[in-house]
Amino acid sequence: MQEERLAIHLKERPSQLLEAKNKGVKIIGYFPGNYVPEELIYASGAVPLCLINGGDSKPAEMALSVVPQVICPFARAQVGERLLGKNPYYSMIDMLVAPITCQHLKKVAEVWEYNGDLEIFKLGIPHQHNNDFELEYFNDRLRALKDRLQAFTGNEITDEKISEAIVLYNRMRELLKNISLLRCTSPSLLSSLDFVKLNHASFYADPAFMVDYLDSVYHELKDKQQVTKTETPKILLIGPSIGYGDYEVLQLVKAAGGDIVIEEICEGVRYYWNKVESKGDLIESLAREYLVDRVPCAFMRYSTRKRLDFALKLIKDFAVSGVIWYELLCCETYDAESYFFSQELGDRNIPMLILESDYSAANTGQFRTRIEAFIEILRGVME
Amino acid sequence: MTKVVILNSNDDICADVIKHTGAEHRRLANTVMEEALEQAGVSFDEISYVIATGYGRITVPFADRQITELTCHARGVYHYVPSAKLAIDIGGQDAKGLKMNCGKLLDFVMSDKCAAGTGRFLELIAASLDLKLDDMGKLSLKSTSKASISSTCTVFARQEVVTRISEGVPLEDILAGIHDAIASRITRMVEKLKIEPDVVFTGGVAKNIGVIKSLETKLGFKVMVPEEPLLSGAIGAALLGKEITLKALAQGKPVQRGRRSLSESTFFQ
Amino acid sequence: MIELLELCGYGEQEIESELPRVEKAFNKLGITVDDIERGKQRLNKYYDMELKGVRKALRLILRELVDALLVRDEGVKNVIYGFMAPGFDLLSSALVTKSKDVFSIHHSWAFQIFIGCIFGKIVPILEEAERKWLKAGMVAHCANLKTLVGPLTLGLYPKPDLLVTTGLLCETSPKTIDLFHELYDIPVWYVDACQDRTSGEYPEPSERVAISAAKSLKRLAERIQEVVGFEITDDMLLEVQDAKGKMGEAFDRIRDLIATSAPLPLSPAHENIWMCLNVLALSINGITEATDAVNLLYEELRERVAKGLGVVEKDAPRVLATLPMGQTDPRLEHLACEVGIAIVATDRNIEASIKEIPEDPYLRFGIGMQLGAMHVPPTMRIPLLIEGCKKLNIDGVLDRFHVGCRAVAGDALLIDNAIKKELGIPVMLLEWENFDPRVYKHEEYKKRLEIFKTMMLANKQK
Repeated sequence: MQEERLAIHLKERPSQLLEAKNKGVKIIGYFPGNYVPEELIYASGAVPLCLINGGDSKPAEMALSVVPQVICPFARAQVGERLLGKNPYYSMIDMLVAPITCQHLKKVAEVWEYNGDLEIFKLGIPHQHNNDFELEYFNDRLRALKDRLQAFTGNEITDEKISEAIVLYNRMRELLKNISLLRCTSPSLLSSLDFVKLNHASFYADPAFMVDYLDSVYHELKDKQQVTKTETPKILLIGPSIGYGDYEVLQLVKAAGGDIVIEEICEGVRYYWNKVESKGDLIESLAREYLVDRVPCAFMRYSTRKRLDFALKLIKDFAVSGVIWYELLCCETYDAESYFFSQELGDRNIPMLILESDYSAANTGQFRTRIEAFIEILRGVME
Repeated sequence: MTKVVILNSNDDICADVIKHTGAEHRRLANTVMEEALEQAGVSFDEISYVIATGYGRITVPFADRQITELTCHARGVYHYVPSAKLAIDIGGQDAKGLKMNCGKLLDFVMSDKCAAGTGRFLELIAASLDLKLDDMGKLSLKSTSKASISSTCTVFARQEVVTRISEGVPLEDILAGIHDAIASRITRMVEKLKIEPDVVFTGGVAKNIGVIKSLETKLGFKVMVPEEPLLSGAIGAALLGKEITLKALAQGKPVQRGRRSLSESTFFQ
Repeated sequence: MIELLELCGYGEQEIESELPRVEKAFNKLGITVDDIERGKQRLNKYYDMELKGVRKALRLILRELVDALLVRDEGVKNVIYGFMAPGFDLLSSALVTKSKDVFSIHHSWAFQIFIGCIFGKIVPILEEAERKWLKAGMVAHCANLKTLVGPLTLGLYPKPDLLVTTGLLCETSPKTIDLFHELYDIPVWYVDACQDRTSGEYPEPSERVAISAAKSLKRLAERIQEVVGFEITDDMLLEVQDAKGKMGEAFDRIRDLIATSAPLPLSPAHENIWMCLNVLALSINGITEATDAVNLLYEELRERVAKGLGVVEKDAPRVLATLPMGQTDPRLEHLACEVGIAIVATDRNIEASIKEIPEDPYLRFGIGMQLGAMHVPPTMRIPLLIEGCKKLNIDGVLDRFHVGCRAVAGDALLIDNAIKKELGIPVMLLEWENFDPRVYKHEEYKKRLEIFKTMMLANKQK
């Protein structure tokens, strides 16, 4: 019953947005990674739309006419979706707010800038924040973004509107976090795949609708919750981004008899784990939360140890017995980091499986064998 | 290759069959099973448990359970060499490194995306040189100065081989270079697992004495090769099947079997 | 060995005093008698050893390599390395000018030239790095970085007191440096500035990017001061910048000469050598020596041009080849000459420029680093390329796009399309790894370059 509600909403969403667009509402796309404050976009009266499609080899291959294969498949998928023009979300955006994070997504922004057919705001993300001028830089850029959004939408972004947006998105994050935490004690309550789809839906759905929906889902699940003892191995998934539609690994793990109980990915835990604390200047509050207070993505300086410590905490809190590292081919930062993690987890006798994807269909058989063997290691073949 | 092993309760091999797979997994699974039953002199109903492993494991309709070849190989290698800590398996299409202890799989690395460093690579080289695959190993041992084959890609390695021939490099030196390239590649791959003896080498390529010697040179110690290096996966699968059955019996639980019998499967072709 | 040192421009007395040190350094590297023989052969084959300027340049490069290998043995107090760190080279030159207690290197370029280009022994170093966290194959990580990781983890380079990099060029280097910090306990530091220049900010540098880069470099200077115990003053930096400015002018003169002379007076394999001079952590005196070497080379080339001497035919097609060039292997550049193509220019010939240079040395850096033609978005890079090709009468573009460098390789297809469309000249895309000799396939590259040449000649006739 619940799922139908969401399914209908998502089905109608593109036409809903197009209707709004016709009435003058701006649709503003942005890339995932956790560094673009959606609150600002929302406060301008525009619709924030995360460009997050992945998993399908077709758009990624389509993009090979524009960028070489050494650009990661997720980045290529973004280029390809816009080239293909079939996905309504990619065609309807009026502006892109591009966080300048890794070389791959940066290249997508640069390619679209070169094409010249889309308004682009490059949001520079300082890759370190130990020095005061770095956070200051981000503050300035957020103020510049605010100015640009005001000019672009024709609406004033008041402090009140930003506050409202922060409250709304904080609530969404809180609900996502609470739902996710239910899986800690009852993994069978909600599979990783279903949770990830729920999380992904939150990027496309109307935020107010989503908060309401998540609230009812949370209460429904909480009532069903029971602490069950299970032999199913609990797994932590670590990676950059799981694109919308890139669900194969999640499905294969479930089919092989494992439970991913928590995802440490860009739009996973790092997204919803914290709340924005509105203290004093709102822009500075946003800047602090998005840049400083979160667990960083792998491209940030000094992030390696922080990310390991966070993963170890998750492993402990969620009674995880193995880690699956899911990265995309050619991702140089996660690649390097996987070496460090495999050493450190190896020292602690925590099994780790590294999977690399280029979204091609040929991956399936190879992933299945590796995932099944990994589960066999975790659970012992005797069960 | 499709292989079948039937073990009795003393862990003796009563039947073993090795056949080229071709395109029809299902049908071939039935055919080799029937051949193995005939060899062992038993009927399908007398088999207590069937485990399917390998690429085609999902297309064995009469299997009770599927277990990956990684876990099965580790168990099979333990059967031959109880002290094995690392198993290197180079088959026709892939290469694997298995870190293990007492037959239990601890970690693994796999290369199954391209032909480089696999049996297929050797087949292609053999074809280029108009040689029989089985002769390459012995011939390479005659080499006094191995050629350097730098390419990791099969296509380019073949080109290099052709170039060397035109330069008049002796065949045995070229073969030694090819074997060295495979050994280098596999060593690099398994280094991640922290190599320690005892190391067991299995798979079709383990029949090539040239590759064995190159591998031993790279590792710095001898590797062990089972009598029939193609069967460790199947043997391991059978042993695991036995353990599953015995455990269920010991716990007083029914053994979970698959739903299809062999004759039913044939019927559904 | 003595012959080798002579080829590398060492004087008689210098050979006597330096020989024991060079031998000690070469022993550390495992350089054998065969290697030295091969080194001499390769020097004579790929480089023009008749040119004294080339020898003088090699001398400075070899000296730095030897110094780097022996630095801890010789009791230098503070060792600071930089890698992929524009701006660091200024600080390091200031450091070594001021104090003998500090040794600095920036990049592994000297290592790449000698161990790679000359001795042909870089592959084991790359393989060592590949045993760590840098990959080979299709998803290759930049082998440039492998020539830092390999020597450090093999113990050839001593552990530095500070390891510095920037995020101005790539993400692989900073992540690698972070791993060095976590795995090997090496203190690290980063210079960063957001690469968020946007439409309206090309080709004139963006002030906010310049200011943040300047602040970041200043923080690095402060951090370095903590290590070495003395201040790096603005005056010291300005002195270095002026000296380097003169060296840069000398490079420009050679580049202009090469770009405007037919036949091509010098094989493009040499660009590797003089560009290396630019990153060596030389003191002011050393920078002056390097400038003299480059000027000497310029004079020698001018003589050749006057005599009509060159390394390809006079009417060889004129090619702009993108950087980086083969830094551990000169074979591709050499092959281009053999095939009869004149590589007359690279991205260095087409950089943007500014009229007013800031007085503050850090701001000068922040502005200067935005003028390059490579690590900038295609919206800036492509017009620079097109304009440059027109000005220099280029017949074809050789885009040897370095797959390890995601930032630069990402533009390859856009460049291909734009050049063909706007200029109607052939573009040869060569998927390349500029720091890895294993990618070189002689037959294949020869064929492709010959086709490229044919296309260019046919196009010229139209």
